Amino acid sequence: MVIARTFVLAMSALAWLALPHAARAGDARAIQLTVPPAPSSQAGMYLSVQVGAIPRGAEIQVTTPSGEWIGTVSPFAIHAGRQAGTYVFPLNAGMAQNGHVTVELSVTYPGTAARPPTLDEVPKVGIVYIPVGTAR
Amino acid sequence: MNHTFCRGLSRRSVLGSAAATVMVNPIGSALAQRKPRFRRYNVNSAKGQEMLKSYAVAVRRLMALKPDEPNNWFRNAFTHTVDCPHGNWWFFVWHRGYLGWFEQTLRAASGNPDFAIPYWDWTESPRIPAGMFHDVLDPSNPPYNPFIKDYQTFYDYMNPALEAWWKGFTPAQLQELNTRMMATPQSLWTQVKGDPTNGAMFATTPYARYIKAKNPDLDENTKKMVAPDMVRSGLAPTAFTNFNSIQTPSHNTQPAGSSVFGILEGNPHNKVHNNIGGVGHLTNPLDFGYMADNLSPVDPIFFLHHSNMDRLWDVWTRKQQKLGLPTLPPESDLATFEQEPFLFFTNSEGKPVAQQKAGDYVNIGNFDYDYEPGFGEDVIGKPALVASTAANQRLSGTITSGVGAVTVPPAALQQNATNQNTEPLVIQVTIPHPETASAAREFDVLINAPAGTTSFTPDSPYYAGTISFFGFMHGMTNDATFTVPLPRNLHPANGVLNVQVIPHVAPGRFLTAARTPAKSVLKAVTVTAW
Repeated sequence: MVIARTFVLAMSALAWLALPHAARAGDARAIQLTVPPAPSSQAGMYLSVQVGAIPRGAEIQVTTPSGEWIGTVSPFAIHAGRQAGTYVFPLNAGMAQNGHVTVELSVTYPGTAARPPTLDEVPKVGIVYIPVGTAR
Repeated sequence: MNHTFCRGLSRRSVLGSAAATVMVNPIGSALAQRKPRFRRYNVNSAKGQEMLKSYAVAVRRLMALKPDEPNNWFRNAFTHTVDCPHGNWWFFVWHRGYLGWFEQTLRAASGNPDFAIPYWDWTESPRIPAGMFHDVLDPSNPPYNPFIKDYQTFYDYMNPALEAWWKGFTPAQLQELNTRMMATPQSLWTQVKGDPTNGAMFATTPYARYIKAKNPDLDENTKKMVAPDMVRSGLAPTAFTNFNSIQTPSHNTQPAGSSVFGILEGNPHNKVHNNIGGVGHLTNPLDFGYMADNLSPVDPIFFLHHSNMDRLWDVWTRKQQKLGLPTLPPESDLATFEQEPFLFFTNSEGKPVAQQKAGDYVNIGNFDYDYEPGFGEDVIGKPALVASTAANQRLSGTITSGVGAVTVPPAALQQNATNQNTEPLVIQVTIPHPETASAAREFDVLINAPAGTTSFTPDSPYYAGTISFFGFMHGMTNDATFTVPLPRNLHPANGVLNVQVIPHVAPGRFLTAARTPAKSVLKAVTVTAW
């Protein structure tokens, strides 16, 4: 049986925002996400980026509108036509403003200009909470 | 070898913590009586560099084995190609088994009975370690030409061995290979050779590795992916199912939907592989190096990279134990996780191993190693620190021609040297911002270096650290203050510390004997307890 991961359960309280609702910003696609209430004080806020099939060697850059780097989706050993998978990056609390987080996504590939991802390339982006803890 | 493991307990915690509250296995009690036989060292430490020499001896010998011998260097790489899991929750445990068995092979081949694979802590040092460009430790060097100078050479060399390997597979192994669309050697070769739209796993010698000795740094994007915040966020999840990538029906099948990557696998693991394998800086977009795909163990850096991944799993496990949290999947899924078959591992004699389940590798067990502490240990917590005799003191030094002199009470230095549980002493150095974009941005901090020093390494007793400016901003002219720990082994009898901060000559390189001593740029220095 494939279990539902804890953070997926946490995510059910919030919406994945599909890309058609997003605005475009030059060579990137901007997406505004509503920050859902944290399920507990022991939950970390993360950005979840689902990536479909992208050319081998291509990467998805994820930043804030001001250019602050959030993460890079860099699929490893995934071959032609395969879904690249869902990648999770930490979000700083300071990235949320007025209850929203805005991220920009762009596809980079050697020898070509950065461009916004298509809906097939990045079908879903969302905020997820993951139970976290350190012993410090 | 008879493997008996203590479920959910790391070696280090068995030895040193209150883990007895969760461990009742008598084997654990036995293990608690002694230190592990082997230690995986940070490759940049003196011990790590010694291990690297043994590693090179072993790699050379394994390359010389006939390709039909299971421990041949390239044949072992194909074990990864045909069975490695990525993007699912068997990623860490499979690679622990793969490295653990091959470490024994390397140990035997090296002739060093203490050999253990060193780890590359890319968070602490985001550049290919010194020594990994030498001879057989870099697959783009001439010793690899007889094997990979072109595809046909590699095919002719390996194919008879692969044909023989396939003939010896059990039905269960063939079923696994079917799942990966590698039912025959030729179907494997189709993937190794690749195609014009997808690139290949194979690379010719010049393209075998993309990061070169002249610039060993990971690129800026990759540095962010291995930076402290990213790695700490990867160690933070408290559930096994969030620390790891998603559960799938087997370690060789894709999930029904999208794979969901754990933070450490999806981010630093992937990006380091890809950066070394050329993603992001290829001239021809499809000329990938070995590290960019599943034939990656051809590149010896693979094992140092994965040693670090395994170390981080060990850190996470010990953190969980400290918090009293589970280190394995929930009970309802534990059997599914532990019963997953791993059928392709061989021992140092080239024989199939008896331990063929994932559950055999959830602990370090009879591999019998631990890790020299590296980045991430702070998530586990430390014993309460006692105040240093230098607490509440800020000792300022004087500067003469860019060289600082600061006097510290000898008792405080002695305490810093002998008691790891005291607040560490740190040294704060102030230097000017780079004046131009091309000016040096990295500086080495030397303390009590002999006069006229022109040659040193990170292991030199007077090397305290390297500090870096990130980026260059026009108009930024303020001085900058950096803090580095005072080396614990530094305790001159008179308490006087002479401090130099000199430009780093090149990323990852240190001054050579032929150079003139560099001029220190220090503007202010203090010592305090942190």
